[in-house]
Amino acid sequence: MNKGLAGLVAAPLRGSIKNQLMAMLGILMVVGATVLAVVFYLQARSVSLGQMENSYRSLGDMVASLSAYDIQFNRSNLKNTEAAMLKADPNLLWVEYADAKGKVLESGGTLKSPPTQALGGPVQRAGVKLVASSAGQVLLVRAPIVQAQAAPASSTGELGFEPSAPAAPAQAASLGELRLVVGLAPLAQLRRGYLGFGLLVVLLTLLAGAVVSVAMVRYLMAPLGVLTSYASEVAGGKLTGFRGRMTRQDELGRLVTSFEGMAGNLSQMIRKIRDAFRRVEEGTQNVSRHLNITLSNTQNQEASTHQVQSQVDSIQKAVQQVSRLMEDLSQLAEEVSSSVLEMIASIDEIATNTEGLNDAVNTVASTLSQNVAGIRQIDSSAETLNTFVEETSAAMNEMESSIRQIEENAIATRKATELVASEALAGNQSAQHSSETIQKLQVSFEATTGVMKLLGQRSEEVGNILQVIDEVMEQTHLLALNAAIIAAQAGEHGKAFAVVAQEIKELAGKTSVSTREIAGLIDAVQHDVRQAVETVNSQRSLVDNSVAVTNETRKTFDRIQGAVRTSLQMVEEIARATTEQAKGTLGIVRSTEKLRDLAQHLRRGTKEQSLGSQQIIEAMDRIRSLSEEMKRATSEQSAGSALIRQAMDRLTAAVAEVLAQNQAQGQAGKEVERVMEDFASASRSNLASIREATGQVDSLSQRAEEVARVISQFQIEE
Amino acid sequence: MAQFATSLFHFKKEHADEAPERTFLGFAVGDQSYALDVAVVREILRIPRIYSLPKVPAFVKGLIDLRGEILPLMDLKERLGLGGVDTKRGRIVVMLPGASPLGLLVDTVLEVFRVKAGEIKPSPEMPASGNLEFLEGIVKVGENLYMLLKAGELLTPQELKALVRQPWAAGR
Repeated sequence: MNKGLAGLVAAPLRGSIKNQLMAMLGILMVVGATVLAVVFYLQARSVSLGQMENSYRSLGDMVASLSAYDIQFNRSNLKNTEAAMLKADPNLLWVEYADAKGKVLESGGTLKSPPTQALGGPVQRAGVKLVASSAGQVLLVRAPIVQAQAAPASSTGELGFEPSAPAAPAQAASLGELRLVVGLAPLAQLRRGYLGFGLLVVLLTLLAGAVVSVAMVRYLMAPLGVLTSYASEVAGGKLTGFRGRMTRQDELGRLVTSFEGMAGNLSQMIRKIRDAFRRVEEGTQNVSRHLNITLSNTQNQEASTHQVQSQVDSIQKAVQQVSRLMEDLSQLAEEVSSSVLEMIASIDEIATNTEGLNDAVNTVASTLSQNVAGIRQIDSSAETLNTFVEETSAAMNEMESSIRQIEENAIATRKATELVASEALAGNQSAQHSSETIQKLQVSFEATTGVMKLLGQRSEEVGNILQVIDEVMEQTHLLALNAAIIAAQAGEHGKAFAVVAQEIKELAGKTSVSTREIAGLIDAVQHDVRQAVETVNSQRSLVDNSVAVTNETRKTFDRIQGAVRTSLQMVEEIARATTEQAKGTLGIVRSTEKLRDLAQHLRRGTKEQSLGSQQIIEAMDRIRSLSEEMKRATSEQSAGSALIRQAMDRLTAAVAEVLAQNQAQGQAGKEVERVMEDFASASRSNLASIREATGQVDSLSQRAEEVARVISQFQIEE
Repeated sequence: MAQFATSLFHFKKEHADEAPERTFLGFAVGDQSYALDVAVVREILRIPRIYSLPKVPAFVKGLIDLRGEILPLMDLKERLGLGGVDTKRGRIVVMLPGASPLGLLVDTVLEVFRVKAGEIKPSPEMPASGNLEFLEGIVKVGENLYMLLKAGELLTPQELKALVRQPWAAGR
């Protein structure tokens, strides 16, 4: 029940500060009015009693002093005074006079039993007291009647109203006292009047308070209403049109103004955010575009990397082919070498046999006349020689065919190597193609630098010309001075000339000054040019860096090309050696044929031996000379064989070198392959990161659009 | 051209009030200005190759070849005790004090000027000015205060004799 009531009271208060304020002020007013009423009542009561007491005390004193004569000499008049007083004031209920001894001399009034009966002698000073009587509470006023200038009478021992002041010496002799009993009826009337006035004041206060409260609350609450409307508008997204709805200067007014400012700032801020997001959107689009370009570039790069890789692979294949061919070649060379060694052995045998033959011929020559049997030996020797020659011839034929095979192999090797060379060239070209753009940039930088340097040179040339001019001016100055001297020495006739000389001197001086100024300007220009060149150089280092990277790739290709070139050289050397060998073989064949002819001659000679000793001797002489020739042929053959052997050695060495080169080439190829693999994986990761970046840019773009959409919901000042 | 005409006019005007005038060649040695009467000056040269001489005082720089004529070269700056002239920048005043010409090495040649005889002040008499005998007087021209050299007394007779006794002079 209690709780329900509290809720009923609290409900309207809860929703409105205005009501709360009103309630608070109402309570304050009621409490204030109550306090005011109580104070009024108490004041009215105390003030009216006091006033009454004071006025009746004065009355008592006045009448007492008037009665001082009467009480001494004309006591009968006291009765008249008493009657007049009672008549004049209806509040006086009782009036009585007592003498100094307290005996009542005269009394009168409406009271049946006055409260004065028990009182003793007269008091020293006037007093007022509330006492009970038959007519309820009354005021008892006692006023002493004294004789002025009289000797003070002993008044001690008397009953006094004020025992607190007994020490005050009586100045006059006490003659008696006047006693007045006053009814309190007028006091009640006064009290009622007071209370009525008080009630009126309280009511008026309440009314005024209520009016003032309502006005004050209205005044105070007005900005809050404005603020509430602002806040609801801001909540709805409206940020414009907050201006000048409230121009008050107090705290609430300032609050409204600052809220308006806040709305303006918010609007500005949102506009800035919106603009920033627009820029973010544009930037995102730019980034996206650039990413797309980068993506396509990276894809191109990857494609060209694949191309380079395939080219490297084909180079590798060609290198392997060359290697196989070279191995075949090496084997063949070894075979040929062994054949040649065999041949050399045969030739050496021929040589020793020839030597033997020679000896035999000599022996035959010396002993021919006696020894015919020697001829048989010669014949057999010639036969052996013939068989050796046949053998050698066969070996030579074999060797010739081997050499031809070598030649064929060399040609095949050359073709393969040339293939490698062309592949390497293609690789180099594609690397070059990829670095062309950078090189163009570099070239333009070079051109700029060149132009600037040219400018510097030109200014230097101008400086040189200026130096020449300066020198000429100095010379002119000197000439002018000399002319002036000569003019002065010429006396009167030279004076006009002296003026001319002076003019020339001044002109030279002016020109000198101008020349110096130009020199200063040229210095400034040169300084600027140097600075510009420095700037360009600092930019060029970036380009140089890119060029260095592309050059690295190109260098690798160049190494391949160099190796291939060396291979080609080696192959060519092999061909040359083979040709030389063929030539040497031809010489051997020729010598062998000659040898064969000689052997046949020899045989024919031995057959014709029987023709006579003279003939034989002649034949022997011829044989001897022939065998000398044969010896020479054999040594020639031996030399040819050595030549062949040297050629073979060189061939073998060349083949080994080619093999080594091929291996190096293979390694370089592998290196390139590895580099290209790295490059490709880098490209792939680039591609992946670019795709990721594109995705991020897309999501960024979406976010930016979302933000832009949110911002567009705000109404802001443009 | 107009300027030239004006100066010619001035020249003629100056020339009109006939007072005895002398013409001098002014040149600078260090921060001092000296002048020689043009009567004793033959010409001004740039410094050619100098052939130095052995056993000569420091102010004798050597010999110069002036169109086949061999002249002694004297450094005026050294002679005046102001240090030597920079032989890359200086000038030579060829003078004819007596019978034989003499090259005088100076820092720069300034101008040819005319003064009236009355404008030349005598050189100051000072206790320590015993060495100022070679000065004829002092004249102020524009900003410069020129000390007028006595051409014949730049060298003491002994010095002159010593120079003349040099082998190069023997032929003359």
